[in-house]
Amino acid sequence: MIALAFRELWHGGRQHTSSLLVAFITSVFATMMIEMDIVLRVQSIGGQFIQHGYVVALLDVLDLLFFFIAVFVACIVTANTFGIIMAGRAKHIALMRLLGASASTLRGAIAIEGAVVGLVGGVLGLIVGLLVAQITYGALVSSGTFVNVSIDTLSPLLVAPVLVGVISTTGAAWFGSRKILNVSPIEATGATQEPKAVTASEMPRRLRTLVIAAFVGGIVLLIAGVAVGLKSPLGLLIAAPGGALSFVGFVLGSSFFIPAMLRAAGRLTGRSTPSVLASANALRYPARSSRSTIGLVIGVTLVTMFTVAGQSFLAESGPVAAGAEAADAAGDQAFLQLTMGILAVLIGFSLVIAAIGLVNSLSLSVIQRRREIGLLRALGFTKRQVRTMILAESIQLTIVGGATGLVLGVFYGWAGVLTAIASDHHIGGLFLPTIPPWIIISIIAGAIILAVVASAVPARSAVRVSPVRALAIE
Amino acid sequence: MHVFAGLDTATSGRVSIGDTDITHLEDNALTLLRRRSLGFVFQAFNLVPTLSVLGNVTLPFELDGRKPSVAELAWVRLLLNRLGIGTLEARRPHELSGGQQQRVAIARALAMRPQLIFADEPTGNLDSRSSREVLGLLGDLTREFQQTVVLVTHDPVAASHADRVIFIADGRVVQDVAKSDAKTLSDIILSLEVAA
Repeated sequence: MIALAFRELWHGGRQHTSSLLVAFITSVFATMMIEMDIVLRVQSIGGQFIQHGYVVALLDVLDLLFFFIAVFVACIVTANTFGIIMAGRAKHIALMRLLGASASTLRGAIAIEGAVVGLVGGVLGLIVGLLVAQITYGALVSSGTFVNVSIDTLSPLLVAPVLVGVISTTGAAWFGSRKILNVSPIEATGATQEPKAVTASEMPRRLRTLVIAAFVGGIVLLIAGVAVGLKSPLGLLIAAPGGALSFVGFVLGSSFFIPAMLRAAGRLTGRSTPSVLASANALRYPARSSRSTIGLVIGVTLVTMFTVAGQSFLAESGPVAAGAEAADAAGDQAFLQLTMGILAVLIGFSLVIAAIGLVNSLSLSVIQRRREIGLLRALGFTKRQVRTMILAESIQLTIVGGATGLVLGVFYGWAGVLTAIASDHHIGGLFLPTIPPWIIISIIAGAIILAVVASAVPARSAVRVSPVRALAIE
Repeated sequence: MHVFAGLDTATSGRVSIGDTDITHLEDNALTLLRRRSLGFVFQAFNLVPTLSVLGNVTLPFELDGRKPSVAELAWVRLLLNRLGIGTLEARRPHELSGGQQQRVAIARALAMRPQLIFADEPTGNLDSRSSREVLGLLGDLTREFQQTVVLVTHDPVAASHADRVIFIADGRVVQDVAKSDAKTLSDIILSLEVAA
């Protein structure tokens, strides 16, 4: 089992680049979180920058929350990557099964591959995280923000980043490789050239009911919370769990929503042959496409939600604050800006992981379609058309992810800020959300840039496919 | 062949290999059966590209969770020498000709001394000279080591190497003859086609 795993790593290590990167970023995040906590504790004792334990505690909670979200996104991305790698190895797996390897041995070998990738990524992330923390601390001390207190950077807690890397990657590899169990040894007998498409297993009915219940129940709770919130800020206690529940329901049930949206996005890019084929490709494995986009949805939703909530708060409370003591109001606004800056960094980790996942799943799926692309070229597709096709597929995925996140983010952000401040007698009831145009523009621009970047590498390798070689028997 | 090799389930009837009835065996038992009692040779060779010749031939032992013993390794080397690829054991599949690759596949199929070897159109990807050599070697080795081979083919020349030829048309056994030359077999195929 171990020999099998290491052979795959030795010869096919490049497949794991993205999983390694994801484990690395997660580990950097964890390391910096731990370091920041140490630094802030030391500073709040030794210096005058932060006197309030309250601020440290708040940062800790936010950190942990966004760290878990990042780990969650990382697990989805890595599990998806392993699922795609498994689809590409289907023929090899079938041969191993035919020669007498049991499915559980093969799956164990994949889990070992995942563990090694997670370990390497985790250790690298720990080292880089420590370096970044040291450099930043030095810079902040010399700029006078922090007092010069020597800090003990090494804490036993630092095994956590490595552990998180190993456990999340191994778990994701194990989960993502469950389709090995369905690979039949017959696929190796050579009768079929293209291994049978592994159809997405239907979600068990009980789980589906649960997901729908979470989504609908969460929305109901959220609306009830907002209604209460119009009278009292205590509505937040109902609205917040409702919002979280409905969002989890949405994420878990993404395979119901996303394919329909991909279909709509497919119509958006036109009826030319490359575009129609791109749309068909994006929908070929609906579960895979849903998982590739959901990370993006999570990141964009969070960013939009905090932006809309923050900006709405500023817009509504601005006139009120004008009446209050100016210094106080300015302090509040500055604190809010700072918090939103920190939040942006924290959410940024999830966004980066999601983007890596999208780039990777697109390029892997193009590599696996080499034969098909060769066939298209043999039938008279120009290189340009091949490139257009891949770009269109990429745009469909990112636009769906971005637009969904934008809509959800505006909705949740609005609901949140309404519940929190609508009961204030200065504001008095319902108000429309403030949606700054720059957030919409930057998300759409970001989605398009991501789409172009994501399609560049696979498109280049796809147009290099010679029509003859792709059609020859392997 | 898929049903025969325990890869697919039979809708009716029974399949036995040796004394074992495999019709209703579950997946684990079938996996063990394939590992220890069956060998396969394919049209597309199906060697593992990342393994050397020796690695490919000893793969069944590795999947069995052990290293081949000294005696087994000697047996594997003997097979490679008898197949004329003894000097190529460190090469990778892509460095070999089609005929050489198919000989590696034959060595792999024989390595565990299985009860039965399935060969599915083993000459389908080979030129006529390599085909002749491969079939000759397969025939010689199986007679020398008392090995049973089930060869599936459309080619009367390949079939003429067999001790018994069973004709299957559209899923039914239509004729069963003893060892015959390629011309006789070819005539039978043509007469079946005319009758249909």
